[in-house]
Formats: sequence, C-alpha cells, structure tokens
Amino acid sequence: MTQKQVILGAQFPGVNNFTVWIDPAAGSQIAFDSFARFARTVERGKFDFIFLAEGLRLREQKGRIHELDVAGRPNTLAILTAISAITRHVGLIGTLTTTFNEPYPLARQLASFDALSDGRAGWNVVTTPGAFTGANFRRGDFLPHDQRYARAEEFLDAVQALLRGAGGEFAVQSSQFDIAGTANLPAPPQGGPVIVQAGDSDVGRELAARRADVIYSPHSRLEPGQAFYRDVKARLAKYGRAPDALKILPGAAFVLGDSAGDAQERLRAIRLQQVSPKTAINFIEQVWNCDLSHLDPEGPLPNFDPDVAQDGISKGRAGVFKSPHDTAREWREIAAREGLGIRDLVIKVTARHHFTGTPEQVAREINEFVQANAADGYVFAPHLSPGGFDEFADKVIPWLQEWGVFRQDYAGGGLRGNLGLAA
Amino acid sequence: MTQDGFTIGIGLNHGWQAPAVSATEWRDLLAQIDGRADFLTLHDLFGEAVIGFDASILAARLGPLAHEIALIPGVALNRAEPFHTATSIATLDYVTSGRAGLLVQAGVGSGRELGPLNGYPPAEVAELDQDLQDALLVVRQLWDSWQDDAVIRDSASQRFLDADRLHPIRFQGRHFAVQGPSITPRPPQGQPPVMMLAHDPATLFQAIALADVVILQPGAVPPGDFLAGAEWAAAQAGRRGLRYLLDVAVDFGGSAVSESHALGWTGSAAELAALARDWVPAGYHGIRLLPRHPARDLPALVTTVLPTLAGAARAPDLRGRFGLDRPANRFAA
Repeated sequence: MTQKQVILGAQFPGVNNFTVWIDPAAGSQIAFDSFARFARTVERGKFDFIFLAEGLRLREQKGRIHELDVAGRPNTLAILTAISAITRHVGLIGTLTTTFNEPYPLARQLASFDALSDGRAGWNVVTTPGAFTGANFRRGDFLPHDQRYARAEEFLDAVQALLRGAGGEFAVQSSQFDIAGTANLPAPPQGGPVIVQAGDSDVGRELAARRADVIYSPHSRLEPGQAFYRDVKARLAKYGRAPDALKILPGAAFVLGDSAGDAQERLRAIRLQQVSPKTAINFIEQVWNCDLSHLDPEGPLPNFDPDVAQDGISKGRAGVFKSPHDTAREWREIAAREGLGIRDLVIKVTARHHFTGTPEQVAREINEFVQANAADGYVFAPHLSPGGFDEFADKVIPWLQEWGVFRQDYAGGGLRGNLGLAA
Repeated sequence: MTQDGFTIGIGLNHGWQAPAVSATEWRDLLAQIDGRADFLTLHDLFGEAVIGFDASILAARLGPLAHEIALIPGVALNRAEPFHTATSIATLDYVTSGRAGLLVQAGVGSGRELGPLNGYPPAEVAELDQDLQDALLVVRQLWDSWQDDAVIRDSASQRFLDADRLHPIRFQGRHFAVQGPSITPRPPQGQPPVMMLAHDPATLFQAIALADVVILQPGAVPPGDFLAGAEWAAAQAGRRGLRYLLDVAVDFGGSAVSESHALGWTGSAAELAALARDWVPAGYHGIRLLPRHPARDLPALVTTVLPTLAGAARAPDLRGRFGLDRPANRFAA
C-alpha cells in the first residue's frame, strides 16, 4: 500500500501563554524581521503553509488588559501578503472573521493576495462572538448569536461569487447581504483561496464537509484524532466529495531532545516558562471567576466554589473551560489525588499534546499517526518566535523525507498544489 | 525630503492608468522608481469599474521589495473599518521600517458594494464628511493607543505588557463607536503621514482640517494661486505646519489627462526636466507625478525628469522626508 504524504503547517506563535517570551531566544513579536526569519525557515523545511490566527481585541481580565502574555500583532492580510514577497512556494493561511468584515472588501483583498502570491492564499473562515470584539467595529454587536453560522456561510457564498465573477457585475441578496457592484478584482490564480474551517461542533464539521478544503481540529492525539477523522471523512460522500478533497489537520506541539528523557526534561522546563506563578493564578481566576491574587501559586486550590453569579471576569479568550463547577471539582480531585499545588495543577490541566522525543522519534510518531488516519498532517505551533522551527526543519523533516512521506522540494501549483488538492 | 526640502512622489494604480495586475509588472514598476522618488501612492479602486489590486494589499506585497521608497496606499475610509485600516497601515510601517503613509480617499461611490449597514454613513455629503473625520480620528487614536514603551518583558513582575501604557480610545461618533486599544503596537513612525487630495473648496477645507500632507490638484488654475488659496484657508482654520504637494498628470504622448484634477503636462520629458524646479511655484514642498501610461511615460520620467528634481540625501522615514518630527503620543502622560 502506498503511504500517505504528510502535510505540515507552521503556525506563527500567537498571543497566549503558550508563546514563551521570557526565554532569551524569544525575539520581537511584531518586527518584520521576525516574520521574515520564521517564514524563511518554514520554507527551507518545505512546509505546506504558514498559518496565522486572529484576535481583534486585546484580552482582558478583571477589567484590565491582560499583561502576562505576548500581545501586539500585525494585520493578518497585510503581514501574510508581505511574507509572500520574500517566499516563493509556502502557502499562507490567514484567519479572518466573517463577523467584522464585509464580502466586497474582503473579496478584493483575498483576490489581490492570491494573485500577488501566485496562488498561495488560504482563508481560515471563522466567526467572532459579539459584544466584546464588536466594540472595536462600526457595526458593533450587530449579529444575533444564532445567526453567526448563517452569516458565515452566506459570506463565503458572496465572496466566492465575487471571485468567480471577477471582472463582471455582481449582485447578492440573502438574509445577511444586499450588495451589488462591479467585481473589480483580478481573477485569482487558484480560483480562490483554500478554505479552512476550524469548528469542532456538529455544525462546524458539516460546514467543513460541505465546502472546506482543510479542517483545523483540536484532536492531535491518536484515538480522538482517528474518531474525528472517521466522522468527518464519512460526511463527505453525501456532498459528492471524495475523501481526499478535505484535509484534516489538527493543531499540535512538539519538543525535541537528544534523547527521550532529555526531551521530557525540556518539555517540563518549557511548561514552567509557559505557566509562570502569576499565569497559574490567572487560570484559576478564569474558572473561579473572581480575584485570587492573594493565593500562593505553590499552595492549594481555593476551598470555595466558583462565582457564577457575576459576568465572566475574562474577556476575549476562546471558551476554554466548560462548566466552572465541574471544572473546579475535577481540578480539586486531580490536585488531591496527585498532591499538586496550583501551579503544577495548571501545568497539568492546560497541557497540550506534544510530540516529544528525539527528532527521529517525533518524525516517526507524526508519520504513524498520519498513516493510521488520525490526521492528514499537523499544524504545529512552536513555543518560541522566530526560531521555533529551526531544529524541526533541520532534524525532523529529513527523516520524513527519507521515508518518502514528505516532499524533497516544492512541486509548484500554489497552496492547492502543496496540499494535493485539485485546482 | 531631500536636503533642500523638496519631496518627489509617483502616483499609480488609478483606473485611467490601466493598472497592472501582475506581481511581476508591479515589481518592475517599483524597481524603476525605488531610490529615485521619495514615495509612491497607490490609488484604491474601491467601487470603481476598473480591475486592479486592493491598494493596501498591493503595498504590503511591495513593502519588502522597497529598499528606499515610501509606500502610501489609498483607503476609502467611509467604506472601511477604521480598526482594520489602522492595523493595516501600522503593519506596513513595520514592514517598511517607517516608510508607510495613508492616502485618505474621500466620498467614494454609492456604497452599494456594502449595502445599507448600521455604522456606515449614508451617501450624503454631510454624513460622509463627518464620518471621514470620525474614522480618521479613530485611526490616529488607535496608532497612539500603545505607548512606545508598552512592551516591558519584565521577568521580575512576570509581565510582558504594562497595561497602564495601553489606552482604550473610547471613541463615540455619530454613526459608530470604537473602544480600542489597537491589537498592533504603535507603528515605527508613531503617526504615519496622512495625505489627502484637494481640487475644490470643499475638498480643500476637508484636507486642511484632517491631513498632514495635502496634494493640491489645481486643474487649470495657476498652481501658485491655488497654493495661495490653500495657505489662506489653512491660516483661517488655524492649521500650521501642513505640507503641500503639486499634483501633475503627465502624458508624453501629448494629450491631456481629463480623468484627473491634477495639473496636466502634455509637453516632452526633456521640456519638463528643463523647467522642473523653477516651474513648481515657491511654497510647494514637493510634487506628485502621475504618468498617463506608466509603461510609456514612467521610464522617461525616471531617466529624464526625476534626476533634475532629486536632491542629495533622503531621510530614512517618510515623516522625515516631509520634514515632520516624530510626534509625541497623545495618550502618554
């Protein structure tokens, strides 16, 4: 049986505690040199694409701008387009909301980006929850929560209609849009950006099965990955799509070492950098929903229940925790069972799956997971910028190449070509 | 600004210039003028019938290739999100190490490309004017919403930021509100220069009120008279320190450029070169040249005209080229 080719995406480190700034190797989060250096390394490693997340309002906690994590990032489309000028093959996927954009301006920008990058554009289509982020935009908190997906889909329809009709007149009337004019944009070389969908809900999976090229999932471990993969791929047939038409790429992390033990030690050191004492307190404040700055980060969890009466004290984060009471109970049980103080508990319960080991071990596990249909590849986020992929490109990629599951060089054809998608 | 204070720009991507639509053509156009002109404006074609690139995206693509020239994309601010505009221009300023500006395009089209939306102005002159003023103020406030020293990377206090050096702008206008702060730190120039065009009293008063650099389009009026009118209006409005550029549309094929309000030049490149410096009336801080057919007219501009206009040294950032200091942050104590 022929082996599947591994797809690899490289996420530029984002604005949360996973991105380590305290390390001496951490560079500027905003200087163009950081993005250029990151992009050149990723292209040297022959990655399929660079991936950029989006956040349109700075996060807040207890009514104050969150100070502990890296913050301050560029405009998504502007920086990706600039990166396209200094790279030739690597794809460029940006996260752009359908909530605080409008179809005509975004279609013009995406078509321009796709044409100016020779067909390397990708769009991670997301919705943004209302009032908090809406305060930065003209339309404010305009969209009822239950219309978010309807708007997203109509938005995508409208943009794709504009791209298909490049050069001609357009008119779109739907529940969300009443627009018309000239689609005065260049015909995009790939027919339009690669469409990425990140939802894990049933609605999100169905939307992806219907019309996405890539689904970005949270399930990077083997068995949850396989379950997700089976579920989503099985949805494709009813839309007349082949299983290959949708690539499943979980977000993932990695740590490399000279030995398996060395890698584990490095992981522990990185986790301590990611979860500073104040960050640990910050996490439990999110769950308990009150000020806990008086607690000892090495001491026990609060012995009272979360405050669910008041509005959430944490703003601008993706919903990380389910019911506060359930989470608090679960965390207390783990802390009691394993004898953990607050910081060690937070390190444990907020851990992401890391592919951990020597470069060969990490490469082997990635490949095994892909061949076992837990994924078609992974979108890796390093904990450091801009050098987070240096070692991966030099030491992990060559193993995948040697086993014939990763390209020796780019074959062209833009982002669709990289991903093995039909043009 | 060249040593003797005369700034030279080129304007491209207007519909009547039959704009290029390939990365290669744009790279070649840029290569011709980089190092020879101080800035390049890129008109945005929002709502027009001509096919071309979005100006901000095009500027971002050219940014890393532009070694010396500054890039100033047009934005139809009435039709754009001020928040996205602020981060986009700030990002360009990072990409070019301080060689970005913003060309504000006023009163663009009917707005049917967006449809009737709350938060956007109706297509009536007074509403559009007020909205433009509001939107530009929001952009400028967002650029200042991070103090230059907001990122502290302080391991002792475990803080990356000092939240006291970040400022919500809490803007409340007639049609919309913006909370802030920006997601992008203050751009290298602090405030990238804002340019506006003026061709009649209404656009002149608006540009004088809002812009740092006003591009005067005198049409058939003698450019010296037009400048005198602008200076008088600025004095009336109490606006000091504005920079004025003369807009000149050139067609070396000998026909007038009727699509632009710029002063038209239909003579030869050699004649323009011979006249160049004396021909621009005293008081102008520079000139923007709009080649009618870039493929034909730009090479002659570059080889014949620009060398006679250019001075010696060029300031590293765009504000410096206009003789503008780096401004203090409006929110810093």
